Amino acid sequence: MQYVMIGHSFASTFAVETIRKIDRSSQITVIGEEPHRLYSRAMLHEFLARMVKAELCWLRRPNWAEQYDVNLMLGTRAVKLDARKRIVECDNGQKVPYDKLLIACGGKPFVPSGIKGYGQFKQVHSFTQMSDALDLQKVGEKGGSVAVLGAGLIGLQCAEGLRHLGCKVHVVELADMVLPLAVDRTAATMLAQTLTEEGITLHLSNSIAEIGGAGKNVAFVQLKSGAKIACQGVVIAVGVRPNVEWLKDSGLEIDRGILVNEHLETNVPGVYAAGDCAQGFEKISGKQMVLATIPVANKQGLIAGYNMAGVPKVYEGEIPLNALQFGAIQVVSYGYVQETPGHEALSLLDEKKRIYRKVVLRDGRMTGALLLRAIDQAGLYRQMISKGIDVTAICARLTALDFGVGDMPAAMREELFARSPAVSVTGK
Amino acid sequence: MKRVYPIESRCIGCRLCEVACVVAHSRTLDAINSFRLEGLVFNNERAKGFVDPAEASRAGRPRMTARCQVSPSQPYRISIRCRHCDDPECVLACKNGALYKDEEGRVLLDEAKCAGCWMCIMACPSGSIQRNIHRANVPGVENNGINHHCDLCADLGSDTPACVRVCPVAALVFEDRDEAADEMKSPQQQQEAVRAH
Amino acid sequence: MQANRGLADGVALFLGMQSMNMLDMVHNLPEFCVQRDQERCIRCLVCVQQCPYECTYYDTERDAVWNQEANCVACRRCEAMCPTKCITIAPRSAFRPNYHWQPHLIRTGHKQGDTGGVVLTGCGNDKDYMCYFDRMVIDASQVTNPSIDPLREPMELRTFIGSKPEGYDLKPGIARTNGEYGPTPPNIQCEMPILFAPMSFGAISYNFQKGLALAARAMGTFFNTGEGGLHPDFYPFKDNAIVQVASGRFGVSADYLKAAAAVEIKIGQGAKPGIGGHLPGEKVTREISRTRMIPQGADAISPAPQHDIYSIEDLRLLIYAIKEATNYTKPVSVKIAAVHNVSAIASGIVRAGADIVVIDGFRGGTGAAPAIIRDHVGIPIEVAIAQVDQRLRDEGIRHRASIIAAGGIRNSADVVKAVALGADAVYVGTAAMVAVGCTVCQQCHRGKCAWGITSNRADLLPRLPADVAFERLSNLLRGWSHEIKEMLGLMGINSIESLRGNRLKLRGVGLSEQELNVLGIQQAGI
Repeated sequence: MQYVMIGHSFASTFAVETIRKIDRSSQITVIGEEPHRLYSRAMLHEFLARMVKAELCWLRRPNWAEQYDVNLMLGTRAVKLDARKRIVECDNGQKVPYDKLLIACGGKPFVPSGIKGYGQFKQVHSFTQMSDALDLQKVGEKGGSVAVLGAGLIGLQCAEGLRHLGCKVHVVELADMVLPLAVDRTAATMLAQTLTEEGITLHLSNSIAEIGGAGKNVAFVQLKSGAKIACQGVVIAVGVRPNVEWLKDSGLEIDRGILVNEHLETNVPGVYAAGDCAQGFEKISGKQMVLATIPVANKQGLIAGYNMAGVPKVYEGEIPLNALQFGAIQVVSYGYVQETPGHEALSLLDEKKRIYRKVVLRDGRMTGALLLRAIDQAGLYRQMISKGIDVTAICARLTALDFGVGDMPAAMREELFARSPAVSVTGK
Repeated sequence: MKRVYPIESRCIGCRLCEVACVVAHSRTLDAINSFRLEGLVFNNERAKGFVDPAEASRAGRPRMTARCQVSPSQPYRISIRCRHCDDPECVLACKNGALYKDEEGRVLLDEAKCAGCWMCIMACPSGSIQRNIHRANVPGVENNGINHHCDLCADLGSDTPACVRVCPVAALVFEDRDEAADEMKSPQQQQEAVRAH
Repeated sequence: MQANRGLADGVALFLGMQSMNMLDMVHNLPEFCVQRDQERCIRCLVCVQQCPYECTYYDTERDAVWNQEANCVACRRCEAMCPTKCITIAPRSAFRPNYHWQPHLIRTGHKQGDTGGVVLTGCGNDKDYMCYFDRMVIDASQVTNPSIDPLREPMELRTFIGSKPEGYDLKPGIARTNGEYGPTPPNIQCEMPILFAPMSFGAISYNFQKGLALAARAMGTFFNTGEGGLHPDFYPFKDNAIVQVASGRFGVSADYLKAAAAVEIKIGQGAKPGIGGHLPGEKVTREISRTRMIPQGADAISPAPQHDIYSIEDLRLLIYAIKEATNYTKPVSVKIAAVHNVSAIASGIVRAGADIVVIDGFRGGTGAAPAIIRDHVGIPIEVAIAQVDQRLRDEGIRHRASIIAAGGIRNSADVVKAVALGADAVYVGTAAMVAVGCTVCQQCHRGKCAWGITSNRADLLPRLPADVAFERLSNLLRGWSHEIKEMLGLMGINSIESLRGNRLKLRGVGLSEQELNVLGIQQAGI
């Protein structure tokens, strides 16, 4: 049995480890585009800012491939999938045959069209890979200014990292709020305030019209509003799309990402997908959705691994979720937290302490929760949303600062604490 | 696998389990010295609401609280802690692999590795992970700290976790309920479990 | 509880008064002080959470635990739960020494001036009256009448409680009672001469009553419902239950009488002779409301007399009504308080047809009673039993009823002495509570029992789990039974029957001649 994983990050790592729990003898090959040792993409901004020792960035021990008996092909990119012949073709000409394939090639940064001068200068980067972080470190160390396009999670994390290195940072965002996809207006206002206090300049409702330079080096960006900002580096962080362009003729059913069923299998038998490139079930909306977050990638990788090794575990789907921090404000969010018609929102706001707790309800069930600073026991909200628990009886308590296990319905407490968790979270 | 299960109907809310946990994980292993010499904290300030880590660190006292928690809100009293799940949501959420499951099935933390991102707090369905700002690996991040959860008193020199030993009304038990859970699985799932091992 | 103080209160505290109201000033003389060794205190706040009397609080600003000492009742829960044992409860009675105006009298005087109400209390008479048990000693065998080793020889503690026939004739199974032939009167079989005293559900917690029922069943004795009726959950224990019919008739129904091994008519109790039972409204929870068939939160005060018993003939009518209703299969007991002329009353009760007479001495406990009555009305059980036993023997009717002694039986020696004075068996109430942790703080009436014994509040109930109560009560019975066997053996007796009324086995120490006569025992040394 030949197992092949395309991608060497979160999803494929959990898939490999899971397969090895069951199958110690078959061959596993991992094709990783980047040349680096297995690292955590989520540590890049702290790595950029030199806030952490290197050890914190590696996702596994240095002998991981040996420990799990993996044939690791680093610095190799898969360029074509021949599903009929069951072969993956790589950019170095190698053809890798498979019996079971996992596509976990993640996402690619999106580049908006219409930016004059894009591609002409060095020091214009995305911020999704180790190489970006290493390049930006050099830019950052020189001091000076950097313009970041996009006030999403990646853009802001990059901005904070650069600020920590001592740069002057300008963040340009099309929407009229920061983190437009992740938080609501109230939270966005507080986070914007924090970022400003950190010395980051925000240009909302704006975008970069032109990138200009001197010779090969970036020297300024011209905003749509007309403002011109001198800078020595530009970061494009306007979103990540599933890296599926190279699969368009493969015969795989692809929407925004690769569509997968409850076993993480694609329409092609033996071919699975997991992580930022996959489009699995989202529980709240009931639709197939790309949820590009680490917990989802890992879980999908885990369950894909089980299925590839012959154990038909079921992936019940996930909800959007995230944890982030800017300045002193920790944020945890679940589901859909913007104002939506037909949904009721309850919230607790302490502007002075910068505490904000909000839940969104429909028909007695939570469809979203957003917590700022007071994030203790946040996972309880995840549980209530994931399981579709009726919270009508306790909705007055949901935003309280001391909301806890004692408030939850007795049946839920029993399930969480009286029953063994040996029934895996993925089981029925 | 043996885990600690709280019996809600028996709990009197005294929080001696929390006291025992702090002492068992202290250097001096003595309640008075833990407080006086080591500066550890025994009371569950969360009972009064949100504990602001900014204020806590200004107070100068290390906030290594207990790894278990008696529910602060009424009317039920229940002592909760990490369940060391088989497919732990926290391990699946950990952004750099600091959380892991050891050979004995315990979910443990590589304390030198934890970046304090709180993905685990976001992920844990039982809400049993706390922030320990007594120790931080990324001091550049404000109020940084590491994950703090029950370690089943791993390597502390006793077969039974401290909280179970100390409970005055036997409201905590250390036992294996996996069989009972197995019975709830479908035959297919039971088969998988057998094959997986 | 936190030290949330408004400005006026803050000033009052500074001036050493808890409030500016002069009428309340006297409440600032605490009865107890809570000495906390701040060096040992680890601010775990266990004591704060465990104190039901709002006596302990945490000062967040000072990071220290303090006390409202005026609220301390010396239940000692905090001391017991403290992991570093930094708390010592000590009395605070620095009134000028006065044998006449003793501290408790001054305090009570203050309280009464405060509200003009009747001061209530729980538990039994705590005043400095003579304890006759402590003035009697037990004989032991020496040379000519060797003692019996209970570890080698069988010791019979089994006691049959009920009316005994005068005799049996040769025709099998035909007993002679009052000169007439009939079946043997019903008796209940007790494996030891110790039964659990009447303690109503309401006065005591659900878990404690369950423990009593379980222990009674496991050890072969009986528990008693008291005035509170029998909770449906305890009907399965009917073979070990004595159900009480008291003046309030709480919970009395046809099913109730069926769910019993014996039925007890309560005329009075030692803690408050002549008045009825009292369950304060704050203790009447939903479960108690259902069991007693009264509204939730309402005071349950029983009438002083049973309103259909105004003469001994009325009592006979009720006794036989119950016997008819239960088909003469269950012994009927009548419980009275030990008062003046108790022997005459007992004689009348036996002649009225009671199978069991329970006499409750003035040390008997209660869930709630006016303190002034608890402490000044009634007589000691020791003299009562001696007189009743003697009188019934003199009248030749001793066999017609068993006598159960109640009221302040504290240990197995008290049991032995009570039996030697003439009782068939004893009821233990306070001793049972002490076995499960009671510290006799006398706050039962407030429904805040820190030990989970006399409160049904949901947050206090788990403090005494039913299985723990069961185990501890079984241990009590086991321990005392063993000690009684040892004491019987050392007396050269191998059966409790041989001890009953055997005054020769007792001697008095430090009693007057008249007291010795009343007790029917000799002076030690003779």
